[in-house]
Amino acid sequence: MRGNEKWYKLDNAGKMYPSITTTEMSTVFRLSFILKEIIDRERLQMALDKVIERFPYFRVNMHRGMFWYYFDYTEQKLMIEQEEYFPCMFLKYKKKNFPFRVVYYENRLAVEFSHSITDGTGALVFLKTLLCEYVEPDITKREVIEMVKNIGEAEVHGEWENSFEKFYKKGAPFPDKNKRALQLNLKRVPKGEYYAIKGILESEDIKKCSERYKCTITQFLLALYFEALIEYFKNGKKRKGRIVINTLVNLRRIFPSDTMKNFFGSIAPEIDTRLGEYTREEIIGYIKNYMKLMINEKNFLKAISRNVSSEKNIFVRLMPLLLKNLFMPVLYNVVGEAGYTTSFSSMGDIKFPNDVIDKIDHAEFFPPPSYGNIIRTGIIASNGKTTIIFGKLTKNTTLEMLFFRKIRKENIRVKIETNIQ
Amino acid sequence: MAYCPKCGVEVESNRNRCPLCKFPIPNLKDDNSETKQRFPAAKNIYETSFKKVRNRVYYSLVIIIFSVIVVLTGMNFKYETKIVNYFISSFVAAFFYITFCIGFFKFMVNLTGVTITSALFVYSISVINNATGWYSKFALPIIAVVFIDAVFAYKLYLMNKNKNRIIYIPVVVLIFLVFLSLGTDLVIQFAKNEELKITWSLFTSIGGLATILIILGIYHKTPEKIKYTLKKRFHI
Repeated sequence: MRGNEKWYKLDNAGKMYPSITTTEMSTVFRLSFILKEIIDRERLQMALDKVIERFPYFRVNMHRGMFWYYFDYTEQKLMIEQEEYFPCMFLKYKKKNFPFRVVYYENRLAVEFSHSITDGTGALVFLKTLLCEYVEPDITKREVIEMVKNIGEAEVHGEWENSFEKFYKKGAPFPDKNKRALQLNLKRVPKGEYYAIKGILESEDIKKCSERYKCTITQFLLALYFEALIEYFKNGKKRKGRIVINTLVNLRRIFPSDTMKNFFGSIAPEIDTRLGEYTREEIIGYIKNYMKLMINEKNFLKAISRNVSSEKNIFVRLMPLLLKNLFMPVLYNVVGEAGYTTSFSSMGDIKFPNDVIDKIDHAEFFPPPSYGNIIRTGIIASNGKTTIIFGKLTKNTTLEMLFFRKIRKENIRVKIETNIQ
Repeated sequence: MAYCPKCGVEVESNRNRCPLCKFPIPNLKDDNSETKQRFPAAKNIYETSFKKVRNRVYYSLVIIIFSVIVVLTGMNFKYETKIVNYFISSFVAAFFYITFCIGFFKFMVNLTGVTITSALFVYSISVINNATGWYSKFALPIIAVVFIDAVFAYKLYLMNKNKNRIIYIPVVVLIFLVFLSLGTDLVIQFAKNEELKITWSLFTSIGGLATILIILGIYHKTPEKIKYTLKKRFHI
């Protein structure tokens, strides 16, 4: 969509999402900032009108091609909406709507993006830029900081690139196939509902605690999550087996990429409860070694190879979109989600210019709802507060109870908020 | 600030139960605490968008059906042929089928409605045809079999709906088909020979049950004990 061309192809990860999207499995995630003041609707709309011009790759509608979906530029104006639905709800982006929405409620500013267009990092850059523009419209007064775009400048080539294709190495082997993992078989809520249990922690407390265990915050939280899952399955009727946490990784940290499209991979640490009991030190040791082994360029080349080469297959390419829409959801369920018990996604510590940080209380990241992994976890830190959100399609809170009680046992203060009435 | 004494976590001050363990939280009436709702009372997007589309489809179909019925009734006055009567009866049945299948009511109401519609529709066909014998002998009992079978399959689906859908939906469908073939066979044999006898449905049932066992066996994996016995008894 540069020069004369006003359309662009979906990236390799994004291609799958429109085919598996349903009203229940929206493939939409939410990133939000809780401000210290009530949002001014008019000011926010003005900021959005300016910011959207800096992100032409987001100013699009999705259309159907014969074989694939594609994004086409639109002159439509994106209007901000007051929050009225559950978070991460279905976006009718295949019907001439934007593949994302900007919503606000009291002091919450949020963006909800369909995964077909970008991942958490792309959404975060957009939201940070929007927030900075909302708080301080005068760009000359603002401190320059990473992951905030200068709206006075044009976008750069790297932001458009399909990094999966760029880093694809022909002939690279595929990763091993997923084996079936234990599943959280919980009673589902009706279609169109999505619940979240949010824990707010002091980042300093959790940092000190993870230092005590000689690991990173992510590794420590992942270990506690494993412990909670082990205890959950131990108390339930479910037999023993593999507990696998699909842990998402931002590939921009491994490959040199500035893309604003999807560019993420995942690793799948697992604990097999058939092998006996595990101590916390054992779990942390395993996670540390597993991450060292798996988070590297060569390992992710395998995942990129699988994504890109299966899509380069002439039979897949020539298959009409209608058939792709029929097969993809089944494949995704069987090959994808059945191999994981739950998922864990950490956005890291979000930095802001000094004049903006004072206006923010904390950040939130709501993972997309899913049939297969009925509970998913999203973690984000900002302004000294870490937020852990369990996004779910069930009202059962046993897993969160076990997890947050473990955090409290480490003497870390937790505040719980939820949209379960 | 309100705390859950069991979990030890701080909760929103407007909560009277812990969101994690549901333990009651005493109302401390702390005037300084925030009472703002963090999330709005959310609407269900599925309900609103689905209902809009459903109503549009339903009323369009109803208008078409009733227009056709009016035209056909007019034709019936003039020509009075069997074929026009068949059409009228089919379109009236179509109206009820659509009403019950489009999801206005709960599943059991819809299923009962569809069954009664089927019974009346088939009866009207037999009356138009001047042959009501097959209706009481075959049609009505088979409709009853389908109804009982569907209720059973639905209950089975409800019991397993939180399990893996890729496995349990085909299993429930196969169970439905096995019982349907058995029931239909029994009705036909009883109507023909006045005795309850299983004939062709024996093969479909064995095939269906074997497939169910294979699917469930692969999914749950055969227990170690059975594996051991099989290996011992059938080793080559």
